[in-house]
Amino acid sequence: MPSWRIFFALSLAFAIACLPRIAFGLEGVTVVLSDEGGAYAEIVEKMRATLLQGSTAKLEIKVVPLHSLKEGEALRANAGQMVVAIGVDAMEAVEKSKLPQPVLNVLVPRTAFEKVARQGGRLGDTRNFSAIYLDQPWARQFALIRQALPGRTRVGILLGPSSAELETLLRAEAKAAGLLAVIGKISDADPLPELKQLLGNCDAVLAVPDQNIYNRSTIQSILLTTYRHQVPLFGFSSSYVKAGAIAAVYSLPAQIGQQAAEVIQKMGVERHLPPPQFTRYFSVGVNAQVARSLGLVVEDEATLHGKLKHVVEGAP
Amino acid sequence: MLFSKNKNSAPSPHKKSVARFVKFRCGFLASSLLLYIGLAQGAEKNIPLSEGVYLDEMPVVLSVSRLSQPIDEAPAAVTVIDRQMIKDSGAWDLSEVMRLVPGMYVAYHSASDYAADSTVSYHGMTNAYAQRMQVLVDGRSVYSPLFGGMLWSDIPLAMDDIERIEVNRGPNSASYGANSFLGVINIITRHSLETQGKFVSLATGRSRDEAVARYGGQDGDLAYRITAGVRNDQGETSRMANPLSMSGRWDENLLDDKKIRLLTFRADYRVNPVDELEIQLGYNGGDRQEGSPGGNVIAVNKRADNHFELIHWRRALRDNGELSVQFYHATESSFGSTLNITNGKTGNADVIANRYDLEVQHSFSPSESTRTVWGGSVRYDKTYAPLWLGGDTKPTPFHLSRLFGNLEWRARHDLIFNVGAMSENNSVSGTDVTPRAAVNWHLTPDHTLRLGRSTATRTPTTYELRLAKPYFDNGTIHNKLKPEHIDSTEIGYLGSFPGLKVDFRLFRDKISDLIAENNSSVTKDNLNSGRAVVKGFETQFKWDIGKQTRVIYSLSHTLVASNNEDGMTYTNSAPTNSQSMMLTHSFTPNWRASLMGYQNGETHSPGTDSGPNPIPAPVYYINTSRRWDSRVAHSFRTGSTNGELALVVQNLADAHYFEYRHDNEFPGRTAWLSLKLDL
Repeated sequence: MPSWRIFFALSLAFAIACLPRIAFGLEGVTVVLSDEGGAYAEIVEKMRATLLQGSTAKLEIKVVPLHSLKEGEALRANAGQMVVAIGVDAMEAVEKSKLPQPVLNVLVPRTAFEKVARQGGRLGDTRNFSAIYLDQPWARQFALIRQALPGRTRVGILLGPSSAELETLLRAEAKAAGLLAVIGKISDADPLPELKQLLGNCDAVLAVPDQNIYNRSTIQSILLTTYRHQVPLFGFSSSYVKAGAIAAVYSLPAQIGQQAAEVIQKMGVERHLPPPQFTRYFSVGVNAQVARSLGLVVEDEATLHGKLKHVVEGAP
Repeated sequence: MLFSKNKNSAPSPHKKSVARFVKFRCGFLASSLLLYIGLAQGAEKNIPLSEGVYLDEMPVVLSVSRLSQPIDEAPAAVTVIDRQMIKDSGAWDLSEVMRLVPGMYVAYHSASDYAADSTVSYHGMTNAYAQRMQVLVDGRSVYSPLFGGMLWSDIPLAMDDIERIEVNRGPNSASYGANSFLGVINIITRHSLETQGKFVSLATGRSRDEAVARYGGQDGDLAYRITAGVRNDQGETSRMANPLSMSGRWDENLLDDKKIRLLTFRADYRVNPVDELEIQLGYNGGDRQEGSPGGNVIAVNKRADNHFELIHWRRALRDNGELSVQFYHATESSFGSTLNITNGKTGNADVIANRYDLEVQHSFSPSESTRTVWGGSVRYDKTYAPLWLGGDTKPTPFHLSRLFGNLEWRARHDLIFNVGAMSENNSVSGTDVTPRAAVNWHLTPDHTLRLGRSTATRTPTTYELRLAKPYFDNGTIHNKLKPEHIDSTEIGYLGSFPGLKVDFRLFRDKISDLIAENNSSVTKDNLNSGRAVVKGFETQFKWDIGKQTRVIYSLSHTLVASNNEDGMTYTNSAPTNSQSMMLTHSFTPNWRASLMGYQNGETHSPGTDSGPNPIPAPVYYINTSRRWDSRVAHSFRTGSTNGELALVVQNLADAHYFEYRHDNEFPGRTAWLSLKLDL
């Protein structure tokens, strides 16, 4: 039955043509983890779950924790695969191994990505070496302050030697959000004297992820001090909200995993990575007890999230 | 730490000038080289370089017990005195800052038998011991087991270590148990992390000197401080300037010199992100004078010796819940002897009172709109005081167990209900349940009405029990000595206007079973015969006149009506009108001044309206008094040292007036200099 066979062959060819090109271009994903468990595992889990739906269901996903590599063992990935590096250590290891496959870096702060990309000479090669930044865009963070505490316009920001160069950017971003950034510069290891001075001149504090200023041993005295001065502090992770920050905007591992999966799906179609991007999905955390104790009325998390989505996406 | 300390420090001027020199001499090449190095360093130092800062689990710092309830949501009237107010007030003794609390009766006295100290009692109605008030320091009751009340200068506590004082105006046994009768004073000390570094405070002036030194350190998750102090206080002058009577030694002030040696230690250890351990140790001791110079003297050369040890564990639970366990032991003791001038005989006036207390408390949110705190505690006191307890050399025991709970329900965003109760069983008066209910209605976010009803009991003190014992023993008295009761109803208003905060309270307290121990009540076989109704209003304004000036003004109008049964006169045992005012102004960031004015209306001591013969005039009451205090402070900075030099003048107008009783003349104008250095 040649006509039947021809019909069958044509149908098959048509069906294959209709399938996303991923079936040809992308055969699998090698996920390199800086560490196991925690946020790293959550991202992988969400990626898997999302990729299981639709055309990427059969994608082979190989997970390689960095520490599983033996001394001197090189990272490898098969042709037709792409690499997702989760965490800065993974990003550095992948970059050093100079794999030919496209690399998507997630759970990496923007500065860390840019540094590694610059050092590896891949800064301009975002089609093959790109990222989903871990940090929230400043506009989103300032929008949170504006929406959570309308009327509080003086935002105190502590900067240390390693974050000092953010000053110009922060001032501009704050201004764009209708706020005034009041910058306090720390030259010493102890941020408290400068913080106390800053607290007299501002009505909210935004924590920037500078490990010299904000770390486990300083956060206690920083939060106690801001609280005593009745000035709310905005953090940058859910952990800060639990610790006593009034609110924070952040992306949860699952949200990052979701976005990474979407990038992979698109990658199959477009055959290259999108330029580095901020997180599309994010959460707002509010510590209602702290707000209440400070005598502040803050809208609930869902309402603020809705407003932030609107504000940031609506912005040019 | 990612970077070493010297990397963080700013370039010294010397380095800068070298850079300038090199640039000048080598021109373009050098400058571009420097620029390049600068850029490279900048890139190296860029933040953040790792995801760790985002993923790190942070300790729960502002846990539920650290957060204070906003006063417009509290189920009771609350006055907060913060560090700045304490400083501005120029208070020498901690009890003095209580004069800034509306309705608080504060009187210094050297007139009592057991201790020369201050009486601090909301709405008066007190003898020297203020036994109807509760005082807690970091959750530890300093209420004295022997006479009740508190010995302010015996508390192992340096004023510079206090973070804030929250005063609950009105009864609150539902939260704090028995003896939280007229009011509760909560003193909260600073966290060890807030007292890091070296601190020295020196003060000297007429009849008073003090030196306090503190060191706060940190080692990883452990933060601690140690505070030591020496205070010499000569108290009142020995002769009065304006005595009421020249006879019967009523022209002499009593003995009240004090030497206070203080040593306190606090450690806060962060076990992990959710567990925190607090350890406190304290000592307050030294020579304390007592009695009158000429008469039979009780406790000559008394030496006070007080100490405590406290351990408090807190665990942060999900959804802002918390579990806390606290244990403390405290010893209030003094050693001295009585002297009978006529026969020269001495007797044992030692007092040793020990308290052991364990409390467990759990707070959580059963639903989104409700919060619950509940818990229980056990306490054991034993008091040795042969002089006061009928020669008994065996310590008198006292057992207590409590179960308490409070439910807060936010029915609507503008409506908060609080219902709570305490069930307390003690070895003296059995079981009592003291409930409390309040509703706070936010008319607008800035205006709140509060309606509340609260009850409390006061347990007879060990001394009162001893006093009644002979009557029980010989069968004269059949009725047991009962606890005193108070049932208080209040309407409160809290308003917030631009630059102005208003607190207004209207109250009516029904007090019953007041303990009267005299011949009349014994004859009637009822030692709880006293009754009184206290009503009135009080208000406090905090007015910010511009950015540099603030006025805090309080007015209180209190009427005590009583049948004054068995010669116990309660009428007028609180000042009908009292006022306080605090004006602070910052002239420049370095110069700050404050002026305080206090007025206390005529006040009688309950039960003792007439003086001993042959003085015809009553001596157990005081006339209306006015006092002005002031403070001028200059803050400065030399190198890394922050300092403040202040001049405090108390009783500016040099008024010679009486406090507490007519054998107690407040010293005239007194000034001292104080220097505080943060090294």
